[in-house]
Amino acid sequence: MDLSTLDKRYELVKDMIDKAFEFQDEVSELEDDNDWAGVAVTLDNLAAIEGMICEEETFLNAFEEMQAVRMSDRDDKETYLSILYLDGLVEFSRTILLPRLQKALDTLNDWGFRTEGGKKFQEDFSVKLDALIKEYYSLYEGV
Amino acid sequence: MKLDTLYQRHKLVENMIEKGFEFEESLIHDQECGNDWGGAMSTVENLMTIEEMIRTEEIYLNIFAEMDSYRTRNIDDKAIYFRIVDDAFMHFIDTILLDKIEFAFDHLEGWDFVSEGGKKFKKNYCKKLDALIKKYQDLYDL
Repeated sequence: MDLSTLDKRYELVKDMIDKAFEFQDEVSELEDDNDWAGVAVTLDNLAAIEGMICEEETFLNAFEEMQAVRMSDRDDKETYLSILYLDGLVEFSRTILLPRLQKALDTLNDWGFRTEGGKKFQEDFSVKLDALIKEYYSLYEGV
Repeated sequence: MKLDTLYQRHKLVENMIEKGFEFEESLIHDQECGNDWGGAMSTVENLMTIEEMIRTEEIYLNIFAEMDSYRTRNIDDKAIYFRIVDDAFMHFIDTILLDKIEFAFDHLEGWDFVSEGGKKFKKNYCKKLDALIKKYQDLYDL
């Protein structure tokens, strides 16, 4: 799973949201409240994560704009870029995005899905959430 | 309801989450409450996301503070760097933070609570969410 660009990470999460809604409809028909609730909770987490990836993009855009602006003092620019990167992007990933991804994964893993479809959903989405966590960890934690 | 500082807004939301969980708990064994539990639970979920957004707002305020305290003679340059971050901040407030609060408000307002407790919860929380929306619009001129 290539998650090396923001677009790819965003597309993955959007895709997961679409698939979760579809699966939720299927589960509705089976009338399994428990599995339906497991998908609902995962959807809430994914919606929050989607918003956070949009915010990651806002930070990245500001960073790029700062890099591109023509200024005479290099040291000043390095300082401001460093503040935006460490106090902004890295802090956001570490304290907001990664914890939410972890919470989504933990909640999903702990859910006792009963139907075959529910168990498949759990396995598939666990793998994807785990991949996202590893990607964000390597992108921003290893700083 | 004083919401002028980030601390006050954050405390309000944390308090709403805590009381929301308590209310949710009280409904679990109540046979008469229909799907009030669902309305309370989804509101608490939305509030948790709002709490994360308020902490993101704090991240921006910290960035501004850091940039502000950086000693440099290049004041004009500093203003330009500030502007770049401020644009990002306004974008965040307008399209992400406010969006999440409005979503929570609309979802709660549209929920049909059947129990007395549920109706009180809805009235109380709608009022608070509305106050938050107005405060952010006022603070950031939106």
